[in-house]
This record gives sequence, structure tokens and C-alpha cells, in this order.
Amino acid sequence: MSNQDFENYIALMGKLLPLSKAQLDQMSGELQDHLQMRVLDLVNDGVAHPDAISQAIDEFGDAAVMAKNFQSVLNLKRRRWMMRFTTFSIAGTFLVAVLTMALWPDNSRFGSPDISMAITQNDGKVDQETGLKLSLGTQQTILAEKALRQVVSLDYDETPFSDVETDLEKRTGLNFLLHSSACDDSLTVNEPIKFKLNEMPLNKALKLMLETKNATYVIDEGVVMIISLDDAEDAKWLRLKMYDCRELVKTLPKTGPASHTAWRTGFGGRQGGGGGGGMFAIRSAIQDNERSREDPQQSSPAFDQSKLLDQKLAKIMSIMKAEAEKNRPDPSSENTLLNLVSTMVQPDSWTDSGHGIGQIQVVNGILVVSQTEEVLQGIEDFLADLEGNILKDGKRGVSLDSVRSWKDIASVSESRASESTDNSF
Amino acid sequence: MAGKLTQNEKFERDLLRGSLDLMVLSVLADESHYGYSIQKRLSAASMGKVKLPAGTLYPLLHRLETDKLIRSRWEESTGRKRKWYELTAKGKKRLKVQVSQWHQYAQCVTNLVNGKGAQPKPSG
Repeated sequence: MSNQDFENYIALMGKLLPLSKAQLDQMSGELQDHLQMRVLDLVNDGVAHPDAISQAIDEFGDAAVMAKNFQSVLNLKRRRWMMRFTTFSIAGTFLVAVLTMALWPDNSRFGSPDISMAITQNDGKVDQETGLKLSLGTQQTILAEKALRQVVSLDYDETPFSDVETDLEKRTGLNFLLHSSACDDSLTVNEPIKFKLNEMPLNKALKLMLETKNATYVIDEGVVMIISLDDAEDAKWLRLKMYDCRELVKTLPKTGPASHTAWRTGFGGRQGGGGGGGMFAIRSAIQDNERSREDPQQSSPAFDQSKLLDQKLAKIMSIMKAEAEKNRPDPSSENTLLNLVSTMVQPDSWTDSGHGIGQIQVVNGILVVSQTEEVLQGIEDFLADLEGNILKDGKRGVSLDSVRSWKDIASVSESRASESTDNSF
Repeated sequence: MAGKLTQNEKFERDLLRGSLDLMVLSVLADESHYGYSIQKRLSAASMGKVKLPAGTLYPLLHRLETDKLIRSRWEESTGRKRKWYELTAKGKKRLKVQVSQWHQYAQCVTNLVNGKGAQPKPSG
């Protein structure tokens, strides 16, 4: 055997093993080094050089056996790689399956993550965000509101309303119910709906769609009730909602009570017909009273009577104004919030306007509102804008510019209130 | 070089098979070695009773490297490129475990063999 034999030996192994040229070169280099060292040792032991080479190659053993041993190592590598690949594939598939099941809108068992999280959070009947204790009905309503906030694209082409309901139920996991009040008007289960909108919050899209059929919706303990627009103003469909404004109130400037407070104390004129109607009504009442008391036989000239009446009226007015001032609550941030909401969000929808039926109160920073679904949505948007502009990161408080601008708004609100009070006399 | 050993004086292949990993890891415990030096060290330590052929040694080294028990590097010294092997941290841990197991195993076999008296006691 010779060096040529060794090269043949390596070449044979290369053919038997699925190795790249670089790998084969490395293996060849390593074995060559071994061979040379062995030959050197054998020569040092007195073996002739050609014999030493021959013996060294013989000691390597059969090329096929060595190739088989290397092959088993390569197979081991491949088997491990396949096991890892299989494990990761199974784990990945399982993960995808679980996620798909969790996110699949039709799967009511799992629900959407948003709803699932909300259910978990409200398990103890305490809202994690606000720390408020909530009734079961309120929890269900909050979940429904969240589900209706999802952004959707709607495309109905002469679709029966019952199918639209089914579609919305699938998307939200909520129950939709067409109330008899809507059926009495223009909307029935078979009513064809033609409506298309892209990428819009479902609550707004639903409102727009229903308005085309003279209807709207309210959330009643988690059920989305479809009712007629006229019925929405009915007191039985008003919904009570609380907004946690504790942080917001801290940042607002303090102002006095506005028109609604004046109305509650009984000195506003809106309830009695608004504006100067109140003054007119008082004057008439005094006149009637005077006439009934006076003896027709001793009646003075009309001019004197009118003068006396004006004097009495002025006295009564001054007493009432003093009383109103005395009863006027101290300025507070809660008043500012109350004024802002009642003057900025559908002003005519509140009871103090003389037209609406909505009620509003602030208790320890919690805004308590009884209103229609539409106004509640408006309040929510308004408060979100307020918080976004004033609170910034929720802790930093209000910038000087913000204070100035909100003081302006508050003062406008206050002046409107005082105008209203003044007009009533 | 020691003289040729008879078949009876060499360890049986089956006896070696289970302890080859431990032997090679033990050789590499103190310092780095290349293939031929590992072979020589094994032979010297066993007084020629363990003659690990290159056809077995190199695939074994590749397997230990695949298992990340040893790592290799190429170095050029005295004008010749040579592949050196050394233990990894994982290899050191494995060696520690295997040495412990080996001692227990050897003790177990020794006790059994001595107890039965199946083999003559080594002459002192």
C-alpha cells in the first residue's frame, strides 16, 4: 500500500458517506494526520517506511466499516433533527389550534379574548380598571358595550333583518332582539336591509343602519334590544350608567353650579316654560292675588295699582335672589364636570332643558347618568376626549394652557347658567 | 511498544462497548487531545489492552461532538493542521455522573464476583 492507497481509501469513504466536499476535506485531513503520526511511530520502532504505511492503513480497518460507523452518527443527527422538527411542529400546530379556537367568532364557548378577559376580571364583581363594585346586569352591559366597540365592515344587500341579526350575533356573541315597538313601525324580521360600511365601530355602524329604518338600539342587561326611534325617548328605555371620573375631576378647575342646579333649586325658569315665562307667571300670580283681596268698591286708579304691584314684585325678587345666592353651593370641580357634560352633550336631552328626560349627578367623582343609548355614547366619547386632552398620562395633571382653556369653557358654561337664571325673573 | 497481546489478554468487545465514552471523556478531562494522541493514551493507560481502531475512534469522537459533550478546533502547529478535541461544560458534567456510576457499577460487580468466588482473586 502507498499514499495512493490512502487517497483511494478516503475517496471510497467519500462515496459511501453523504458529505459535502468541505466535510470530506476535514475528515481526510484528520485521518491523514493520524496516518502520518502512526507511520512516524512505526518507523521510529524500526519498521520500514513502506511497511509502516501499509500497517497504518491496515489499522484503520475496512473503509466500509468506518463509513458505516460514520453513517450511524449522521443518522443520529438526522433522527434528532427530525424529532425536534416534529416536536416543534406538533407544539406549533397545537398552539395555532388553541388560538384559532379562542379567537374564532363563532365559538361562543371560548368567546373573544376581550370578552373572556372582561369576564375573568369581573368574576369578583369588581371592575379591575375602576375598582368599582358592579352588579351582574352592569357587568353584562359592559361586556356588550365592549363587543359593540369592535371595528367591523358591514355589507348587506337586501338582506332580511333576521339574517342581519344572526350575522351580528355571530360577530359579537351577543343576543339581538327585535322589540315589538320596532315591529310596529317600519322594521320587521323580513325587512330587507341594504347597508354598506367599511371599518367602523359596530355601535356607530349599527346606529346608522337602524336609523335608516327609523329604529335604534338599547342594551338591556347584555341584550341588544332593537326599538323604534320614538320609543328610545321613552323613560323605560333609559339606561343608567356610571362613569369613573375621579381622576378627571381632580384636574378640572372649580366652578359654581349651572342651569340644572338652578332648576333643581326651583329658581330656574325652564321648567315653567323657560326664559321670561317664570317672571311673567309670578307677576300674574301676584296680580290675581291682589285682585282677589281688594274690594272692588275701594279700587284705586289702574296706574297706582300697577306701581304698587311692581314694588311688591321687586321686593319678592330681591328676597328670592338673596335666597338663591344663599343656597348656591360652593364652586367645585364636580360642578365643572356636570356643567361640561350637560352643556356639551346634547343639551336639549336633559330634564333641566325642559325638553329631555335625562338625569345627571356626580357623586364622589362618579358621574351617574340616566340617558338614552345615543347620549350615553356621546358622553363616553366626550369623556374620552376630555381625558385624552387633560389627563395626558393620567397622573401629570393639567398643563397651564389646558387649565386656561378649560376655565374658559367652564366660565362660558357658568355664564350660560346665570343667563338662564337671570332670564327667569 | 508493548509486545502483542493474546486474545484472552485483551478486553472483550462487549465489555468495552459500554465504557468507551467514559474512557474517551476521561482522557480529555485534563487537557485537549487530537485523535491519534487519544488512541495512544488509551493504549498506554490499559497497557495495550485497549486498542481502539481509528475506524471506531473517529466516529465515536464525531458522536460525542454531536451530543455537545466535546468540541473541536483546528490548529496549525509545526506546519501541520491538526484537529484538537476538548471537553465542554456538558461533557464535564456527564463525565462526573458517569465516573460516579462506574464506581458503583464496578463495586457491585466486584462484590458479586468475590462473593460467588467464580473467578480466582487477583494475586497480590
